[in-house]
Amino acid sequence: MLQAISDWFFGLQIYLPIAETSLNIVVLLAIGGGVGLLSGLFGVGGGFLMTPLLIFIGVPPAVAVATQSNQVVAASVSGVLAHWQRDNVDFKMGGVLLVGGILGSSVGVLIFSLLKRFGQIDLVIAIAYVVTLGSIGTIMAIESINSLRKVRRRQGAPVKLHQHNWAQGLPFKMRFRKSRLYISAVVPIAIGFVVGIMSAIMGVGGAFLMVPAMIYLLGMPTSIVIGTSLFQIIFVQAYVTVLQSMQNQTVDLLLALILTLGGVVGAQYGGRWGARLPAEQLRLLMALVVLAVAGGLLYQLVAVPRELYAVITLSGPL
Amino acid sequence: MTRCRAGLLLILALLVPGVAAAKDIVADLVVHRIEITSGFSGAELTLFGAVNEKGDAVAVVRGPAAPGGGLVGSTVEVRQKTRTLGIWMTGAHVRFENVPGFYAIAASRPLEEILTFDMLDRYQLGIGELKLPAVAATAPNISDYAGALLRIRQHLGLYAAKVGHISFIGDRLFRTSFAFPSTVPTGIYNVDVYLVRDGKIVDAQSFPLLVNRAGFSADIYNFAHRNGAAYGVIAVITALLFGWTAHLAFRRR
Repeated sequence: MLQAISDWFFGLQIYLPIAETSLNIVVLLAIGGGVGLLSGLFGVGGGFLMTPLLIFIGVPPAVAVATQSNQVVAASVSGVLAHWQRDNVDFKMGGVLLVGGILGSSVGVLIFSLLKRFGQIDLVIAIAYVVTLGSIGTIMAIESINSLRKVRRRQGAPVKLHQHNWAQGLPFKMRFRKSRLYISAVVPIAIGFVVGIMSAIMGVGGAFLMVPAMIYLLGMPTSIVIGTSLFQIIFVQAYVTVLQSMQNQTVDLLLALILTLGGVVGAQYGGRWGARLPAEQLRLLMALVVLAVAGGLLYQLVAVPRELYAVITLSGPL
Repeated sequence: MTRCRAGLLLILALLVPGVAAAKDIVADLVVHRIEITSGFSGAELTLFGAVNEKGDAVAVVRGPAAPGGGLVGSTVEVRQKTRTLGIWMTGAHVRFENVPGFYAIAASRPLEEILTFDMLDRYQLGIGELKLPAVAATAPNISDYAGALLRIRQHLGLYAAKVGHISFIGDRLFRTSFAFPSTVPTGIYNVDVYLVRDGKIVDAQSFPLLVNRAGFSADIYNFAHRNGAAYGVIAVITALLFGWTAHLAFRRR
């Protein structure tokens, strides 16, 4: 009896209209939930995990990239609302980052189609993943281990709110009260722009780039960073979803809904745990996840592939 | 027994009107259409038929046809991965034309026992006999690429890994079945049935099979392709509502 129920449960296949294949609904819900949990915990969209996972279970890469944008919108909304409740969102900073983000992702989509024509888009994406995830993961791991040591050594030491650096000399200074910063708007716009380009090329939300940039380049408090980054991601990913739907018809609404169902639940729990865990440990944990993904992708680049050939349909019925 | 067989033949004759009387072989599918709905996870189609005298039967399913009719298949590029500086990247490629998206074959006996190699080649019967014309290549070893194409599609279930079995019930009635994976491409397929005696194809019959999307999954597909902008906006609104609902649901607790 139990066997029959579990057979039925794990045999639940659903046909995805845009991906044009049928997949197990339980697996999809689990992926959505797992990535959502990390999304709420770290304040990242989770695209850097979602995209490789979806491709791994058999979703065509173009559909995986476009669809996860849509699911990240939903996960980010529920994440932002949770952070907003605790007053952890700097809307002004989010808006400035967004200006750069929209410009950057537009440029990124252009670069994407150029690379596609060049024929090595998959390789460029894979290398971009390994390099960015690897370096960010390493920097974050070292940084958080160092500060964990410091915290242990001198308890109650004065916390530095922000750093004074070269960016202080730039024009268009703005006051970000929530972030306790008085800096040039050029810096967040530039960060938004660069992250926008990277996120369009790699098909991710880009929070794993955005969050460290906000912490280390802008000097924002970690508690504010997560909510603000999620706020910004909603709009960039909504923009990308519409763009992908118009240009490539690669957003699978049904797949997005299933991933979202798992994702929003996961993100809620992630957000709660994240609020309880100390920021330094949270950062170390995220660094390890990022490094693990980078390692896996690097392995795929250098290991002998199981199939040395790939078939691409160019024209006619697919 | 004879009456029963005659009855079946009569049913077949009615199903294939105008053909049965003059034909030495008649065959039909139980259903002529595969509908891809949200619950679709592949399909198994039964083909049945009858011959007028003892002989061997061969059945082939090929498709889908190029849009607007004409030749079966599409243009595909097979790309080889090569190692450069320790990293596997896309290297040389070979482009093939008129490549079927799906190919399955069944026979009442091993093909090489029924027909000569020349005949198998002429009618493209058997996985190895698929004609894959290369139109552009940056590599000399085209047959390796053709082999890879067959292997990959066999792995996906799009090309039959082996020749299926047509079983005869008595001397005249036969049946077999074809499996279609969930990734089966949509379009119009062609089913060919051959009657073979003494190494010669003495009669043949051909009929279409339609694979199309239906229901909710068709609605989504059509909407996405006809009105991409509206589809994208709806996708975003749905995501916003989902996120908001989840927040409300969890806040209450």
